[in-house]
Amino acid sequence: MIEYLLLAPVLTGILCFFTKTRKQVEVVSVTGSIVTLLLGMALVVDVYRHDIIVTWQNALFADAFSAFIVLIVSIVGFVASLYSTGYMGHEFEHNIIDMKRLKMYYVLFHSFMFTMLLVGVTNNLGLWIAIEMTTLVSALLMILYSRKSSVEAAWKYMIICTVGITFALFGTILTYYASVKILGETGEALNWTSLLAVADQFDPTIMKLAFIFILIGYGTKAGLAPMHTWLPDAHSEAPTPVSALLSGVLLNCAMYGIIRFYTIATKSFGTEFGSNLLIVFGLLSIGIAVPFILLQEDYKRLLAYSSVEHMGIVALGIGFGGVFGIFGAILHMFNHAMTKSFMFFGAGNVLLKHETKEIDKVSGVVKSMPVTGTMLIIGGLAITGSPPFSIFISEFTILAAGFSQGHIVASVLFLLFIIMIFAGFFYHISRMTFGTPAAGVKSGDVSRWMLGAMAILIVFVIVFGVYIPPFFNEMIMKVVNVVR
Amino acid sequence: MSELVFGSKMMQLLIALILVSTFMILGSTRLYSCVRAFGIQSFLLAGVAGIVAYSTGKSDIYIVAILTLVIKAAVIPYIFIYIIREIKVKREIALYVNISPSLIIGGVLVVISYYLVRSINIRTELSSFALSASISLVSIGLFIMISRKKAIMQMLGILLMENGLFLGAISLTYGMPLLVELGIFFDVLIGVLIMGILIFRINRTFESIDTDMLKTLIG
Amino acid sequence: MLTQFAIVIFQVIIILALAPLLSGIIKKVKAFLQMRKGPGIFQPYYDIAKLLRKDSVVSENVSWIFHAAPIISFVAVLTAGLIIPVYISNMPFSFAGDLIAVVYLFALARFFIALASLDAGSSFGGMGGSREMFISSLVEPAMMLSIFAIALNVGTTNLSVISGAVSSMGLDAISPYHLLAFVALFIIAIAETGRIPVDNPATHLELTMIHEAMILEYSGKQLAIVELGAMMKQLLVFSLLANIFFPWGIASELSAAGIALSLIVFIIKIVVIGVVIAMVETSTAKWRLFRLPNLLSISLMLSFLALISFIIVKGG
Repeated sequence: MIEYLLLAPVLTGILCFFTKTRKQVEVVSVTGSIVTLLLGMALVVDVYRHDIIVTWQNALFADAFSAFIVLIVSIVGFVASLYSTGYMGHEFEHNIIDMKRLKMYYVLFHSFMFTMLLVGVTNNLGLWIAIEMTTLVSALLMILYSRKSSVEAAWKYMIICTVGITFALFGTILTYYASVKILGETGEALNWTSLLAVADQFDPTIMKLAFIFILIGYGTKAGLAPMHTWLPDAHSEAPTPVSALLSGVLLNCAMYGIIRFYTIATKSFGTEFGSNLLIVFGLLSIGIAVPFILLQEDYKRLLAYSSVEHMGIVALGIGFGGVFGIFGAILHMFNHAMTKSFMFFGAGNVLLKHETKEIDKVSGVVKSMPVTGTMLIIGGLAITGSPPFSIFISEFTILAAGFSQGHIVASVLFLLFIIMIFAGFFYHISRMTFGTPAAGVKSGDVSRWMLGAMAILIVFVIVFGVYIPPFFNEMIMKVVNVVR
Repeated sequence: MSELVFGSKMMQLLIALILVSTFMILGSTRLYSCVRAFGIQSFLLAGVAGIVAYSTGKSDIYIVAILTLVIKAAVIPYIFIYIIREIKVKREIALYVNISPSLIIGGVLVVISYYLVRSINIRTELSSFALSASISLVSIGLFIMISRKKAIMQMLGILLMENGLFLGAISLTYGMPLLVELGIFFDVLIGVLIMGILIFRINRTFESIDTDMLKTLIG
Repeated sequence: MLTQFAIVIFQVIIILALAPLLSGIIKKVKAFLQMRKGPGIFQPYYDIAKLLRKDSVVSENVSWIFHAAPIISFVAVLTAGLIIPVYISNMPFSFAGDLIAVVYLFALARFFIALASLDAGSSFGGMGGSREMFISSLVEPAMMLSIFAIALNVGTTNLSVISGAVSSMGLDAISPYHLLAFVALFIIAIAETGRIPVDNPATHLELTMIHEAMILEYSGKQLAIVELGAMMKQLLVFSLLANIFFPWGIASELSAAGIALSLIVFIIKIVVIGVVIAMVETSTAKWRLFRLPNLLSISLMLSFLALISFIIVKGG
């Protein structure tokens, strides 16, 4: 099962490489991503039934948490490939990229999907390898346009994330050292399934050190402040569908790494140390996002800083702990993935139409693109956590968890920050959407592919705000049980 | 004198030489000599892995040693030299921190690493020296990245950090499981290639590989 | 008492006799490496013999310092030679001084030559003197620090004791700090003997010369003494390298066979070091003066590392 899921994007990527025309490459890409989505769903169902699947001599495995990540990756991946068809097609029509680049884009896109799926299903702590691979592939996606700013962003992204990931490797080595003492030198000594069973016997000092390195390492990749500096550059300079994947999915993959280690580490040294670290990093990320969101001039960077904020919220949720905190954090990962991709797609529409990333130069989107404009307003409300949208539910759960676990100061600060972010964010969105469009901007919406992609996501944004389906609820509860 | 004692003596000497090569990188102002020192360092690392393989008799570690020799001591330096030659970069490296202060900072980092290792209780003679050398390599690599202007040197700094971690893994646990090691080698190699591509791109768009130029994205 | 006296006399003779030979050998090896025929290895003896027969030409403006400097520096170096173990590890004079004394005796020799170079008032002399002092300010601390790591291990700065102790430890003595300190002292040796990449002993090009610029005003007998002093210093620095870091084979008791063996081993060691230095000289280019601090800071840092790794390995 897992093998097929991994094979699907690889095959799609290879097939994309051998296509000749735009039509072919788009058909292959969309079909491939549909297959990936279906296989992802099938995996989720499988895990739902069997709890844990292990294959390939224990190298690959899937439990509820992996399946959850696979679900996010395949849904957003599918939607992003739909959106790519419209977006990259537009770029191709306007001769911004040639056929070779377009093909390259799709090949890399599906390789990127593959690496992210791999993060979810690796049994080994060698998860590190998969996360580093996501960096490598996405850096190449970022330099698709050879603009100065995108080359700069790619370089920063590559360097900072590789350094971060090197720290994570050190943490992994330390964990292995701790586990070898108990398990002996087997290849199994890094497998989740074996680690979890004996994690309570690990040397707490070494595990503390390991966790700090892991948190800094994967935290860099997850965009936790103060290691977030690469994130706004990278997410704003990448092609829009890739921005959606980076913000919506890749950050979650890194967060997944942190949470996995947190689960093991807390078994060794108790919850207090780890949860305090997560709360501090989480609050710092949310707090740092505030001024940058208030004073932002570039709407893609605005969204990128909002990602920093939301990753902070996830960290905070895990840090608060308890069933509610973790439930909220996991749910928030999903909700943020959907809403942020949705917002990036909206921003991509605006970028194609108005051809600028500056907030000041964009106005009257509702008039020039009625559908996109409306969606931007909905998305803007949703991403800042207003009811009745999905993010409100998860943020509220985390906040409730914070108060009930007695983290009063942290919770109050959290509330304060998100109120400020709400005000700032919505101010920018309203400046863009209302008013009259600048002269020379033709009215009329973008292609159906792109609106279709957004329509799929808006279902999640709205429906999950008012009603969480029972099977989904049960699935998240399973994830919570894995994490606790 | 048993084999292991002899092995650990050799190991200590190799690690001392690895430290020397690190300071050669810190103290050099020419790209080629930095790359050469890196190659020597990787060669020594392969030697360390070889000794560990010999004294533990594990075939896995022999593979790792050979891979280190081939990839880090031969292929990667070759890629570096190829890049330096192709982009016709000035051979002198530009610095934010001069050589002598760099060297002093390097020395301080070694001391700090030692105390860091001391504070976590890992005792045996071999691994405490190897481990502090490994952490100093990581921190000096990081320092090289922030104190040198050329993009190539940042790449070299990352590889230095990676070498440090390799040494750490070897000295703590005789290396990671083979599957993980292979994955790491794969990532390092691909990473170097992609950074190479990025450096070519930077050189083409900015007509320089000084990272001073990369300052437009702020806020 | 008499045997000790004999040891000292013998040491002086060996130093005086071997110093020009070492220079000759290095020159020959260099010539060989550069595909030249080169002068014979005994050429330095002929040179000195010839210079000793010549009269000195001395500027009218010089003071007594100019005349005294060659003698003082020669004697200073020779005194250092009585403290540094050459063929026997328990030197009778070792009570009189240790490592620090050696460093200061070398400094004294250097100081007077530099003073004399200023005395004559020529522009080259002053330039050479200032450069020499610049380098020495970096060399001296590094030299002390590099041997300190070994001294720390043995527990004394007395060179004879260090040499004997390391020798008796056998292969056990080889350790990270040993190696690091050796590399550091090797770099120092290059600087101390005025070799490429620090100084070029074969040049009279005004922009690059350091030692040659200082002694430009000397001629005849005085030049012979200065040159011989420099050669002796070279031999002594090499024997410091050899007998602190690889003292194996050095005689510790007085016996004819032991001393003969020790002498042969010593000559082999010195020649090997000389060959390595010659190889370094042929394979590198001279560095710009302002890059020299980098080289010497590397040496300083390596000595420092040697100390740290001593603490790490010993203190665990």
